[in-house]
Amino acid sequence: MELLIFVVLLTLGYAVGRWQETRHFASIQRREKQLAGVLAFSTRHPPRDLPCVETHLVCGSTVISVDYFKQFSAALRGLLGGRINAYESLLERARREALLRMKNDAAARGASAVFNVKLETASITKGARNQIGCVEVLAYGTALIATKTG
Amino acid sequence: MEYHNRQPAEGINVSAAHPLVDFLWMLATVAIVIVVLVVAVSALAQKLLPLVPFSVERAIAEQVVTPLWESRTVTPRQARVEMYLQTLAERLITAQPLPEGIAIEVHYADDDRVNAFATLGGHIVICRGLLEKLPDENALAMVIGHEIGHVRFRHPLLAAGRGLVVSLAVAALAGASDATLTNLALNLGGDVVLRKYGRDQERAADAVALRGVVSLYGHTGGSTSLFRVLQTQQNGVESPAWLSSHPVNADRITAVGQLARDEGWQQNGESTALPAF
Repeated sequence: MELLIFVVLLTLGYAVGRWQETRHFASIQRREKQLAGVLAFSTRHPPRDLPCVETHLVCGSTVISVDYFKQFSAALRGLLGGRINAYESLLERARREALLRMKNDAAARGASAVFNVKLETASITKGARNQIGCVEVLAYGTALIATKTG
Repeated sequence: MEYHNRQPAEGINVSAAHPLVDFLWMLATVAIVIVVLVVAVSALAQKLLPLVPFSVERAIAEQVVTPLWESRTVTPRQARVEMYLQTLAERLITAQPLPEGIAIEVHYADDDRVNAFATLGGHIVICRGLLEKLPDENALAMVIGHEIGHVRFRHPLLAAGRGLVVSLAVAALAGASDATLTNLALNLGGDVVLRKYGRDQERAADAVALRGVVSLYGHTGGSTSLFRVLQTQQNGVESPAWLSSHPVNADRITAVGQLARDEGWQQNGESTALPAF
């Protein structure tokens, strides 16, 4: 019985998780093209020859959870060592989604570039036992908005 | 100055490998490691544990098993039954002497369950439920002989030792991975491997029992009547052999019949009635 529940959860986790991931990646790629006009830079120093600008803090955050299948895969990896592919794709999605939300925020304010972009990650479950792990990825930066009177 | 954000290529951070392929490889590797580990550790335990003197096993039993007997009240009838069971055991031992230092103590439990077992320290327990179901003394001798066989081969000690070692190994692995899921998988895997030893041990004990029955009654009739009782007890429903610690009854009957033919023992004969208590 225990084994049956386990297999059902694993299959469910795999099927739903895989479907969501494929859909999410497609959506990320589409929106990245749409928002290609908003540039993001990690440098703290915007170019001096920029026209007169306003600045605004913009941020985007995502919280993602692993599914049962990914968690079990990662546990096996924990025994054997090596790349945890299951988590790598998940965090890639979270990072790109957070950046997209930040750019959305910037675009809504009429900005065309964000400087000093930083990414932060925080584990929400903090390694608590018997809990599905969750991670928050936060992207933030300073949006430069060209003023019309410039 | 002109600024651009060029989108990096896909697949830098994400592996192209299919997650299921990756998963199955890992599962197979871990499964193989666990099986090898459990088999190796069990084999080591099998080699080393029989070297533990019986007196040590008896001392462990004093702490674990004996308190179970001290607390009960014994009616005169129970005492008579126990005396009879002990005498029957002594007769079986006389026919097939035990290795130096091993002694058997038979207990009669006022319990409805159709069960009998051997435990640490040469203690054998026969439940009332089983005794009431047995048709004759031959079948009872087969039961007691079977449990004596377990004690003779130190099976209770092996089982206790292996259980301890395997649970330690599982705990070590699960601790390293920090996941209850792996723990579950390990438990399931380990269990199936362990039961196999149980079956081999049962076969060995059956052989000892049959030899004892033949030397007491001159034929192997006791085994047939015992297996018939066990079979009706399970209502004809048997779990597959790999899930069960006792070999499927049909297998046991075949094995016992084969042994009787190999040794040239008579398979049928007069059965001895159980005394009235």
